[in-house]
Amino acid sequence: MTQPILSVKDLAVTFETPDGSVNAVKGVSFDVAPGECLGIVGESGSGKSQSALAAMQLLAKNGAATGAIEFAGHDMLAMPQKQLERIRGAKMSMIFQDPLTALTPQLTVGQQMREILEVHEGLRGAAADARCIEWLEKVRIPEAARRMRQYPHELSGGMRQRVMIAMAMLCAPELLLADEPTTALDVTVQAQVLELMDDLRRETNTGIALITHDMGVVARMCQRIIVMRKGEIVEAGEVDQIFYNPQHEYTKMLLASVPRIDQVDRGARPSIDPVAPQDPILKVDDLKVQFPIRMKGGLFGRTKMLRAVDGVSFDLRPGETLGVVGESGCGKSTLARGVLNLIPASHGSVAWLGQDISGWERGKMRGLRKDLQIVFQDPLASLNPRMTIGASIAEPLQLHRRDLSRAERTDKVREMLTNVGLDPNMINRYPHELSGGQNQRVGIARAIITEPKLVICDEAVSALDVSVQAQVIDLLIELQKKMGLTMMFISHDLSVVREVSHRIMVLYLGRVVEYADRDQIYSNATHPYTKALISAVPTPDPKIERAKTRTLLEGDLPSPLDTRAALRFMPSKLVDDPDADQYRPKMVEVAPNHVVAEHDPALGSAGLIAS
Amino acid sequence: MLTFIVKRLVIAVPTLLILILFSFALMFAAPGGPFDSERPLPPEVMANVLERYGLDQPYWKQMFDYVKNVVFHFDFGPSFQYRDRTVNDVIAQGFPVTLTYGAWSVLVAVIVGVSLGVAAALRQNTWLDYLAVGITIGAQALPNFVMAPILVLIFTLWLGWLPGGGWNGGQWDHVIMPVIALSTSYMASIARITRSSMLEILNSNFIRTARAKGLPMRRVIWRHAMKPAMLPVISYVGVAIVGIITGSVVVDVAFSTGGIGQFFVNSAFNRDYAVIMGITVLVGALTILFNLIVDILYAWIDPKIRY
Repeated sequence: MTQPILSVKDLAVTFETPDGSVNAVKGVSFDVAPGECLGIVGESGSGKSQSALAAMQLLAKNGAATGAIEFAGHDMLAMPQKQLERIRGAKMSMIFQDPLTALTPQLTVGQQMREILEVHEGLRGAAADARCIEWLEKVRIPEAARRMRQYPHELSGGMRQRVMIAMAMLCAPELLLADEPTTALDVTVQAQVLELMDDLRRETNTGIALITHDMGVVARMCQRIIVMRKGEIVEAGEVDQIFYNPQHEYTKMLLASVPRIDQVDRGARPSIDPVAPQDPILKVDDLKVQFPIRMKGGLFGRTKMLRAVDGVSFDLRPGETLGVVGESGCGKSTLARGVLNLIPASHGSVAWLGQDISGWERGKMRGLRKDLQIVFQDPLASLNPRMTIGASIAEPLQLHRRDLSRAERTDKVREMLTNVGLDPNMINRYPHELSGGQNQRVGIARAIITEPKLVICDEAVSALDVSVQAQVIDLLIELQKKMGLTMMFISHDLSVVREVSHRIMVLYLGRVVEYADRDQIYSNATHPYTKALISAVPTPDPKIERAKTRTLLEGDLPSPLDTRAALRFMPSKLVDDPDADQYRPKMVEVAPNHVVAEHDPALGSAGLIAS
Repeated sequence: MLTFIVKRLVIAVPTLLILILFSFALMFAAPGGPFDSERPLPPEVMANVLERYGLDQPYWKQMFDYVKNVVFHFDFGPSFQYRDRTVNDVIAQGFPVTLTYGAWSVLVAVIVGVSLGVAAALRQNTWLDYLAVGITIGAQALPNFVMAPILVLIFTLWLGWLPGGGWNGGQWDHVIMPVIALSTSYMASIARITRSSMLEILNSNFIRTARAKGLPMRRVIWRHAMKPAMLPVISYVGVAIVGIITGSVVVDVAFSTGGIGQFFVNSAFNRDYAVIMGITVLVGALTILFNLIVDILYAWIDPKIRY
């Protein structure tokens, strides 16, 4: 192996907190070679981010690092501040997880990029501008010169992350530390960003340390991996060795927990039962939800309708799970709220047990709420912090089961805690005393305690670590078997949806583009958007990843206010006016139970026109 | 931006009208009149006086005439207590005084407060921080009407360094104590707001990014941290300016500076409706103006706000 650019030996990071010192990293050693991508993998709290921050000497004030960190022969830990500032951002740079908060909101993209060149190379004015624009173009940002004058909030998340990468690459660093660079991004954007980083590594021979919890991303990007857990390295090695011959139990468990888009087999873990052919209990027909958006123009502005959900139809049989997938802003959550009448639908009908409930007022809906429940994404934020979890779970009973005495309610809550795999003695704990996974179990317990018929899970596992995610999914599948639950499972993660769903609906800007049985979607995707989504998900298998040809979508998700956006896959019918009424692609049944929206022929897709 | 300013100025007109109507109604609701005294005037004289000031008219008519004069002639009418002067004269005499030390007070509060707050945040949990926090807590607990006599006691009576009152054309030694009395508690609040907002910003992700770019700390603070940290301070300064304007009533009286506050208090005692109304309208207009300026500053600093 060539001389490593970064060499970390026995690194320990300790934080002094009011509750005593916390050892976040306990004696970690690794190297990164030029032109190599090292994956640092682990779940939350494993110390992976702190190791990287220690290498940059960017630990929080109460943190201290010991051991040795050598960058290009320099000892980073003993380096004076001035020299450190010369290395940071020039020879060693970093990309952070959250592109929404990692750029200064009050400065333009150009101001934030130019200052790097000014500080490190004394470059100013037109020469600096030219270099910035060159890099913005390299990270494929359209209209780079105009973007230079924009503020971060005017760019989309994917675009901001690309600005971060361009900023990190400006001075051609020898080492790039990337801390969860794609975690906050949609899969199609993630695919673009990963591709870009991989290209840059090859072109510039930059060493990359990629910190991530996503085994798929590692398989796609890395040559070597270290697996971290609770501040220690549990396993390190070549990528193939880790994936195909893991030695440590934790690595094996991690790999087994990862949902895979390419297989249905879940090993020994529970899987969904087939659904008996019955009459549907929920029938949604041509549902539309619109929001008026104030636009600029004139003294008082004007309003435009944002079509968040634009004519969605589906039905659900008892005991069936419908997976709803799509990228952020496609209307998944609005659809869930529209179905439950939490926001008024502007058109269409929702029939529950044969009765049209759309437009029902609150009081009338209240009786139905017992049967219609929802589990939200952020478990901590959706529980009242001042109520014990027992009180939160019991609350629906107070409304819907007036016949129960206080003691009976408590018994039911305890029983439900056992059902969702929590210790019944935790009944008097508060949400902040529980982990994310435990809180999500509380959220599920609260939703199912009234024995509802339909449960909508809105990104219910997205905020959880993979191993916890796997447990919660297992729980949902088991509860469905036991209680005969009907579910709508909303997620941006196609591999998770595959595990729990009988049928899958793909949404694009509020409209259905494909709707079919689960295996049909994954083995026989027809719409180019579905294909792009599936191909964008990295598989946790390095050989498959290397062999994969990708159908990347270009650019960002367009604004849903622009009526042209909906015809992205059918440009032949496009009227080039952002306010015009556009052609509406028809739904075509290509096979029994497999409906696809009309589209033009595209790369890897034959096209489909209704006869 | 221009439409925003125009819109706000247009809205200011009905706001001021409502202010006038409301103050007028309040004054009429209060018992007594400007020419009532322990020994009543002879009825003929009283009728004469009332007629001269238009007080014999029904009050909707008085209100209407008042608004008409203010709007079309910018004339706030004659004063009732200073027989030979108009309200415009009174304001022209008192307002420059109040404006002078009021402006100084705002400047001192902002400059000292922000510097103290930033210094404390940058040296968090050191003696400097503790000292600054201690000073601000103490200063915040001292309202201007307590500050004023304490200052006079120390600097006039004990040390004999500064005159205990008067204005003397705004000579510096007459300005210092009113400014300190008026600005101290606002300075303290601004320091505390600055400190906590600066601390929050210094812990934010974009500051970490700025440091990861290798920028020197001085540049990180001035370029990346200062603007966002100032946002809560600016919204507070709007409130503080209004507080300083109303606080000047106390300071004027305590130091006999001859500012509008002193006229305001005297007029309230003597039921000089015309002066009270004039000063109320002036302060109302100033409040609206400063709120507008604060909003414009806010938009200038925060690019997410576009009017």
